[in-house]
Amino acid sequence: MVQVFQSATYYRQKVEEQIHHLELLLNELLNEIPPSGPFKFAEANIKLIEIVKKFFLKEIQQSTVDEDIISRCKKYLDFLQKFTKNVVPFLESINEAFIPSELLFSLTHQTKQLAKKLNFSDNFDLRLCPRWDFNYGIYAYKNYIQTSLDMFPVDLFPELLKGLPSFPELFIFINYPRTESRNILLHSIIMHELGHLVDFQTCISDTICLKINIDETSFLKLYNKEKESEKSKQKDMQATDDELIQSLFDKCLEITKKWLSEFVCDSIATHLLGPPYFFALFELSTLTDNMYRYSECHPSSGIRLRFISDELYEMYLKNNNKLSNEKESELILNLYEYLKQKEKANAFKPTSSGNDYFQVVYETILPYRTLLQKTVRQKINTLSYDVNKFNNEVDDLFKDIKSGVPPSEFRSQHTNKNSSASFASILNCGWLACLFGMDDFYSVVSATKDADKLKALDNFNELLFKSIESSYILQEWLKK
Amino acid sequence: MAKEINNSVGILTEDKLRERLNCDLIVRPILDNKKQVSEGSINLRLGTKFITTRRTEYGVLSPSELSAFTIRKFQTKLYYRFGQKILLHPNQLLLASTFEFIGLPPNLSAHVLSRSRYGRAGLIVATATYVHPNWKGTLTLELVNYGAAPIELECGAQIAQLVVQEATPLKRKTKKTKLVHIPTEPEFVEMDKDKDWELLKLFRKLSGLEEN
Repeated sequence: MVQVFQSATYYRQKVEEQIHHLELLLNELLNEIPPSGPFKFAEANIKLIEIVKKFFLKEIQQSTVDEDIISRCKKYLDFLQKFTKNVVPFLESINEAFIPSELLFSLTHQTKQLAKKLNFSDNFDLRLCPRWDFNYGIYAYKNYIQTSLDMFPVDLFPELLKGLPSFPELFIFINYPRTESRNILLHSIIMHELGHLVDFQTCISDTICLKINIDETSFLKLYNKEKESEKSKQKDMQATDDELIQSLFDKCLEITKKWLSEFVCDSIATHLLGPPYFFALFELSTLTDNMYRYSECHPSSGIRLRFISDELYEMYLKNNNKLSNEKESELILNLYEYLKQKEKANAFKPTSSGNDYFQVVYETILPYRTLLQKTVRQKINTLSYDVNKFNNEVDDLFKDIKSGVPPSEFRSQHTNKNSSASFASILNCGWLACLFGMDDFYSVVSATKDADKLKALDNFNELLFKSIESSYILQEWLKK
Repeated sequence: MAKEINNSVGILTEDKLRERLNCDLIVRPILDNKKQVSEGSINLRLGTKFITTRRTEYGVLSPSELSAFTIRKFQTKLYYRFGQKILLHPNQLLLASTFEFIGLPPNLSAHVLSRSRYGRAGLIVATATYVHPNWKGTLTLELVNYGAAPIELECGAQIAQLVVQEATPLKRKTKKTKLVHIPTEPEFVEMDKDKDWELLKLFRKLSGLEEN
């Protein structure tokens, strides 16, 4: 009787059932995908499962030995389960109220512009996808569909492409915290995530990494400590010196690469947006209590903010680069000094009680700060949101948002006509108003009680979303 | 008083509209500045957000029994893309909003009207057509198809017109006591916010139409 659950017939039936369930699920999700959702990704995956099903039936028919059928079925079950876990969450039907769709088109447009100017392919499909944890992220499926078909002995990818004429090279999903979906100012962080795409395509952090030498002093400390702990192991389990050094070095390099990429993306986001990215990261770090916390993938927010403040100082405070808004200028300067002092007092240095590798990587990267900033600056110099752009656009926009008008247009000094505001200017104006103009806004909408102020803040966000939508459509309209 | 009447120019025509658009009248964005501002009005485009009715969710719209929660069960939001098509069936009510954000100064008021080219197909775009001086936001449009055939609308199409007229500003400053919401999308039914129905219920009881 036990064989009921172990026979070849049983396995075959279960694989067919799983495929059938998945087909139903994918088709249901496709029907529910909102207009700004990942249609192409869904269609590609439906086609993928169709091919998997076809191939499975063919494979099973060819096989007559039970053990062989069972082993093949197990392979398919494993694939189907992994597929469901890795892909389906990105296709979950999402109420569009949780997708900042106004942002999607503007972001796609900007990313295409980046691709054009930095010479990488703009054949991608970018989507926004909320997540439940309080963080941002980027997932890019470059050859996901293609590699999914690697389990088959023949190349089925051309067959898949037949039904999908506009199959993008890259499916990009940008994650954001679902509860903050309508918090436009916090979404400034998305520019860091796009930075990962730029870094991936242009290899900025890889180039810097090649020039980096692991800090010898801290590495020696790590080595001595590890050597000691090796001694406590049985003799035959102990690593040789060479093996130990190599494994420690590899691990340090691995973390260095990841941290470098974070610093590079911070720098890219700062160049593309200016102060909003700095403020948003400060806010996210405060809300998630991440100022001094290190992980293998991320340096602490404290040291990241310190790097960014350096960049902002160069861009908006140094020499002739003066922000027209004195209050914001003063705030950035204060934060710059504060972070500088903190670094000087070693406040951001990873503690000795934590992961020993972090101290090595920290000491390794710090001396290359200038190189990192210079490399990013050279790469995206022309795309930088410079002080002139801020000074020409943001003052007008700031007046609008304070009086309850979406800051989508400003009076151009050159043409004396209204021009559409850039995405970066809208976010700059939004942050400026959030920091120094909310009393005016509350007064315009008569928000006096705390509960009313919360509702007014929602309204403030919606006005900014409206201006992003309006300015993007106006820009595109005028091009036609 | 006579002076004020003489100063009034009534409905603003193109030159005056353009002059005020450069000064204190906000209509943003105007995608086609040449064609959208015409002799006596400004054409308004259909926005991308809609509210439709879930007929299966509610019986009667009774102001005294409505709440924000029941309204949200009865009405649902739809999100479209600029340029995307949306069908309006005969006798269907669809709440939409103007793509343009409108801001009137204290001395202007306006009316939002259907454009005749759509009106001839049976489309009515607004029933509550008056816009107060000082008002700000995207206008909620009540789209109803009174024709015999479904009408295909496109987000971004010029379906309404704003007729602007001068208004005598209030001499006293009005003090707002309630939170002002500046709409950026169509607004839900708000019949319940008119608190008169409580008094009217009392009258029904006094007349013996309703028991205590």
